[in-house]
Amino acid sequence: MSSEPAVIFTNVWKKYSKNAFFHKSLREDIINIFSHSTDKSELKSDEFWALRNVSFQINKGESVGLYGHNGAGKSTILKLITSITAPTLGTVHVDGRIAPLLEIGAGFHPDLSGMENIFVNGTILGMSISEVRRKVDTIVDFAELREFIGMPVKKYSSGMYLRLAFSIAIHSQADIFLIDEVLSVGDTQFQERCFQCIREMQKAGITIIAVSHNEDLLKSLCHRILYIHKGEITKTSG
Amino acid sequence: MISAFRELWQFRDLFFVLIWREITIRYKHSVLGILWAVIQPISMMTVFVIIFTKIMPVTLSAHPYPLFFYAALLPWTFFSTSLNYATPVLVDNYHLITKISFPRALLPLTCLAVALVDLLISLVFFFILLIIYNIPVSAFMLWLFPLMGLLFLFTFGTSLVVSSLNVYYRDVRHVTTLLIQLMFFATPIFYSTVAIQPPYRYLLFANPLTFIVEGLRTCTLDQKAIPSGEMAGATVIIMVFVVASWLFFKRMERRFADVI
Repeated sequence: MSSEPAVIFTNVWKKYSKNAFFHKSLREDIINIFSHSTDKSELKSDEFWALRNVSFQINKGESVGLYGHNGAGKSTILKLITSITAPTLGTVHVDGRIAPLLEIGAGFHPDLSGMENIFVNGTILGMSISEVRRKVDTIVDFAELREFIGMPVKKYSSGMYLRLAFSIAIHSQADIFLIDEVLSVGDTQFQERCFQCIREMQKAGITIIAVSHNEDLLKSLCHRILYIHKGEITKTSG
Repeated sequence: MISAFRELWQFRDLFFVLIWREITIRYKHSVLGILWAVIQPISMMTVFVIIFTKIMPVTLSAHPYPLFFYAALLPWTFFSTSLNYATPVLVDNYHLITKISFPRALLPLTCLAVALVDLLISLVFFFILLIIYNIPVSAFMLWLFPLMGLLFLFTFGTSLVVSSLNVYYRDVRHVTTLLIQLMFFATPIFYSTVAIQPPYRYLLFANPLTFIVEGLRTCTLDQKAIPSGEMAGATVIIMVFVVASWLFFKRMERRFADVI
């Protein structure tokens, strides 16, 4: 583990709207497009802070768990790391290629075969076509789906579906892995193999940021756990 | 702008896979498959020929009617199918937008690429028609390339605006359907601008598709060059429009994941 930072959050605030429709009126929107004057640090009546003044640093090669109840802001942190969403205030700095396993099986299409979906999902996770081609056998074997790989995934059982999706995800090449509640996949045997895979990644110096509300699981996997409560980091352990 | 292209280029593999995915899904359970690309313009052309020769005979052009209509239906079908695909594409892929980071413009661009495949297939049929009606293939037809380029850019700009607005206001989907219907009449598809008197004529040319449709007829059916001044003017206008749409999209993109 080096002391070089992979992820730095500096006084990050993130605001969300509670409304199903984020806008109040067309007129207001048109005015907002042309003016930047609204004070971002103030909340309007329908808004709330998903993150308040969050600062932390994760070094390269470190495994960090984010623990908290539903709605504590764990997933928001992951979304900020992948730059899916931008912070309202503060800065987020990330160094390295990210494998965002926020949703396994992203881009899977039910009518496409398992093999075809490996290519779709693999490139969505940031692999190149040639990289997927190289790894396709390993992915299929890891998922134990050799005989079903030509079948459309709509005919897969949910276990098969998750195994394939997780196998693709775990084989993508990245410096930082973000894992959002996807560890509870498949049967215990498959889960054990996933943990093994993650331990190997840790040995290879890959940064891992895992989110869960299973504290024991995080403790067994991570060097350090950040406890998040109502958008704030309340304590750090490890 | 250059950094934008570099960003898109980095994701070229994803782009190819997305195009391939769309095309595969579209034709997976269809018997006629890729033939559907030509069936649409051909059936429209047939209807127009029947209306304007049998039901309500009118002199619209000295050219054979099937060619006259089909030449205009080529770019029109590309424009309308692209927009129909692209308008809901960001909303339909919300699971990607809220979970994965990639250049969002790839999604509408994929829709255009799929429609472009259709366009190329229907171009083949266009050349078959040209041979049937004994129209020689000439060097003027090289004008097709810049015209198709402009058509692509104009459609791309429009899709960027419409698809990103649809994330914020779902009404846009209905507005687009309506606009496409209205644009159909504001584009010289079943008529020619030659027959139209000045004030309205200029109004028609406010629609960039008018220039593209008439240009396509000029370089293939009339076998004439397109005046380079007009070409340059249209290029500048469309380029400005595309850059503005791109900047607009970039501005809207920042909050896609939060509002979708």
